Amino acid sequence: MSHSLHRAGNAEELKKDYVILSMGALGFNKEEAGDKLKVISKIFLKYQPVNMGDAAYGSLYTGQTKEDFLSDRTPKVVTATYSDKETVKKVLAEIKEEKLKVSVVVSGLIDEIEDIVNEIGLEINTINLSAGYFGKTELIADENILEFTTMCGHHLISHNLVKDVLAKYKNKKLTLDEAAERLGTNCVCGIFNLNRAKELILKNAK
Amino acid sequence: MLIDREKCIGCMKCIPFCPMEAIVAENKKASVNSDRCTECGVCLRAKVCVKEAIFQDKLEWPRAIRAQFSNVLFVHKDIPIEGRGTEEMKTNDVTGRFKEDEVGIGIELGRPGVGAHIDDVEKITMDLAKFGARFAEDNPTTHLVDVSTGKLADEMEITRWEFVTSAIVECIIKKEDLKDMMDLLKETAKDIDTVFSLDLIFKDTKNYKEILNDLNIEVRPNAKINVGMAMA
Repeated sequence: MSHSLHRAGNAEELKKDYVILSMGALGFNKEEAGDKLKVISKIFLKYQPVNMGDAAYGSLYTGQTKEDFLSDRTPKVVTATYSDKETVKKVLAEIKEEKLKVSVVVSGLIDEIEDIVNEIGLEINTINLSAGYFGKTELIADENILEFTTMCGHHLISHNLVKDVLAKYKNKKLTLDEAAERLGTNCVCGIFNLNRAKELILKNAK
Repeated sequence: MLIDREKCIGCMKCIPFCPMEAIVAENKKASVNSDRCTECGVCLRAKVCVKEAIFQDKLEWPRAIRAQFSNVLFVHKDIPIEGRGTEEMKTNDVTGRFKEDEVGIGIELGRPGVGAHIDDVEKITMDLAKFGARFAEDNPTTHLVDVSTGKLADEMEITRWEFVTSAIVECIIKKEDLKDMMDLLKETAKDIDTVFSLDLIFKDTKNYKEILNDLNIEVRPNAKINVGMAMA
């Protein structure tokens, strides 16, 4: 499903928000992908992701530890979230060096990803674009709330929780870290960018 | 999902966690509105209730379909992919599922944050079937309908008024049909009781901006990109 496609925000904010995903293909290479995804998980962790997860097990903010991602269990769909282009480039370059022949998807600014791909000698295979919202769009939360909630692709972060957390931060009932974590603990896949969330909290507190 | 009224102390801390606003205050206790609850499991996983009053009751069919479409940790019995997801373009460098002269369509009913009834899924699948859409086999929504007509399969009729966090219709159509399909979708969008997010997938990564401009669709600065690692 759409995973990290519909992340709201302007280009300046999205410059600090990248998600990398890797998985095997059912009927093709899913069976033997487990060990390869372990190698990728190790590379993800080496570059200190803001968040990391596996759709089958959870994320660094839902009870998984870094050690869990390197354990004997079989990874299924691994994801890592980063806040800058240069780190993403290093991660992809290192994965490429391993010649794993497994699919990798990057979500983020198109121009920046194109730069990375060209620099490290990859070729874009497919692009998935967000073409907007249709129907009773009056039911959708405001853009400043969507900037938070769309960082969980399954939309498991409630707009009311965002409002609640913003209010508690303003009233000094939560620190900035606590506020971001309270939101991030609902995203199972590990694609909620807590660094960006903190910036958004500060922006909304002004 | 249910809340044990005997255990609930009425702190109401669970209320903001529900993405569908299904937890409400009732006689000084928190209560789950079963019509709105999509069985996504967020409230339970959040461990927000210190009294452990929130609990998952046994889900019978057809209500169980809510969890299939809404609980990220649920793996569909016929579709062994974690994360409630399909592969769509994520593995296209291995599968070659999308061709240059085609467009992949993803219609995410209920997203962002609104929820949808299965009834609205059928309206969309019927539109797409008119264009000979090739529905994604590894998608739980495809298992609801007769793919030749887009109508709910007879045995799925019972699910029509079930409410889910999101239901994603995925298919592939010919690029030449995209404009007509968009026109029809916009008309149908006036007749649905929810929202949908639209995803367009291109294997032709050189000309998509021109195509979107012709359709008056804003090209967002961000996207999801298969970087061809399996081919490297």
